Amino acid sequence: MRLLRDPLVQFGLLGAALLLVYALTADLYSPDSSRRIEISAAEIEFLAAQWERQWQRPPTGQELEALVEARVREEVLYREALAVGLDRNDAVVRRAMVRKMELLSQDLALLADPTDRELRAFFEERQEEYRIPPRISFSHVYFNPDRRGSSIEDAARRVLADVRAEVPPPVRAPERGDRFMLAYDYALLSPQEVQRQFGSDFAGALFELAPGWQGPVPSGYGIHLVYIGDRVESRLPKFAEVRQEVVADFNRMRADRARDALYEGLRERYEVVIDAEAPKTLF
Amino acid sequence: MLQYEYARTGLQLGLQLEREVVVNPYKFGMIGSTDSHTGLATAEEENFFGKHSGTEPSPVRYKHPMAATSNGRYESWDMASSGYAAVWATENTRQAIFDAMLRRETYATTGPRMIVRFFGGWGFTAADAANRLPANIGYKRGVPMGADLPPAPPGADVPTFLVMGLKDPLSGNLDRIQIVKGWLDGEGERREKVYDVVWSGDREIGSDGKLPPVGNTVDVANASWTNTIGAPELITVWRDPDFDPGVPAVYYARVIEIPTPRWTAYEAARFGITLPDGVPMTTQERAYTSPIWYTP
Repeated sequence: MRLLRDPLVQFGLLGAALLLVYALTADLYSPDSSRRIEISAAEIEFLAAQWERQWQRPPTGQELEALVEARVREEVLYREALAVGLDRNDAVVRRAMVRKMELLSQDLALLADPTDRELRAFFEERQEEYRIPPRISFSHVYFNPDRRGSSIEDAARRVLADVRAEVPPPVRAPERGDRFMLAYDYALLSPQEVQRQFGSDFAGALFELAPGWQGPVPSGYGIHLVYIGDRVESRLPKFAEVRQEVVADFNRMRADRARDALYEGLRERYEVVIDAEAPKTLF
Repeated sequence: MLQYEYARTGLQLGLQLEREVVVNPYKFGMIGSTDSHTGLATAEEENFFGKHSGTEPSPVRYKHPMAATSNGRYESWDMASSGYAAVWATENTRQAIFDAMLRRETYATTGPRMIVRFFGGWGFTAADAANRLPANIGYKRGVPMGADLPPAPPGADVPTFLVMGLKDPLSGNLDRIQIVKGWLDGEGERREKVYDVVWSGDREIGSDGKLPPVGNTVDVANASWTNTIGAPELITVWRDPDFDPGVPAVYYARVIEIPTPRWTAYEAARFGITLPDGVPMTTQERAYTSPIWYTP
């Protein structure tokens, strides 16, 4: 059965299946019928159903007629375009066909659901990627550099000494600093969430701090004193907690590998000649 | 100025049309977007991936025109990267966000994630700008960006505006906030004026009526700048000094950053290339809000 897992073999099988379908329906496309377009009852039903899905009602007789006429028009122009070779040397057509090849190989790779054992092994190998970030709660006192000028550090240190000296220390003291347009108190934020609101320097420093009043900590806005409250440490999740994510990642890896393996197998069959001189003249 | 090329002209045209057809057909809000065709969210100057696919960062990208037709040649270096749509929604749900857009409580930025508030009312005072929760006062005693000023209560004769901006912590400091007013004069002609209403540092409006520039810390060669000028946040209450209760008017706020490197500067520094004279290397990013309308 290992042979069946080889994307190239899978691809060959699928190709054979397509050929079979083609052989069974080939009379539609035989040379005799190349000037004959048949719109079957099944196809008309399909057009009507498609319409109904979009408009939430069946088409009227007139609308259906127009749908069929559009279908005929498409077929005529499509066949004529093929006949004069418009499918060749067209960037859009090429891209669509390349994409189809890749999707086919990827769909094949995902035919079988991954087993629990495969998923667990995949997860164990890269547990760090699923690490759950730490979270931290804090309240801050903001000092505005435009308002305070060079005395800003002193002002912050004075307030820090004051709040530390109080027994028990306050858990928030925004009124001892300047007004701030964002919030003063934050509950259990991750480093990314802190970074988005206060910038990277502040986020980096915040998670290094011990509980209680700390600072001054610089941010993109100015400097802050922070009261560090609850904290949830970063941890590695159990497999069950992230199973869905693991399935998605595992499938993406399988699909990518199948796509690349197919390409590499096919590439080997070609002799590729690249003009080594050309790139030098381009810049 | 190119006639009809600016959003604010559209707002003033709306006031003119309202006189003819009773409703104002140009009562629109503001959002920013990229208009890029790359599928990438690269609205910053330092990650700008081009307007069209195929014009990615490279030593020769600046030579590639955005469009060259018989109507003229439009250089890609003529465009800075942009922008974002900001929405003041009551909660992070589809419904709340669409409700906010319907009432035009939105603003645009050219890339930075600035936070901007703009309220209009008849009784804001300087003390409101010193309050710790200015938005509470804004909603309680006025209307937000995108709305109509309510009729003046007895005793009030001049509209007041509470405006504030907070910088993007990853971007430049703020230079100034302006309020752009459009109105119709006695002949029904479109008029407009840009007021500097609050700014960083201790600059003073000169005898020419203009606020001096904030300065420039951009080191073009290294595509960097320092936030040693400008302010992290600005807030003020502004009274329209030229208000005429008899004419319709429209007001919006504009928050302007200090100069920062433009994508052309990042490109030159990264690839070690020299761009032709005349290619702008710095830009002043900005946010602009949906307007507030006054109708007599």
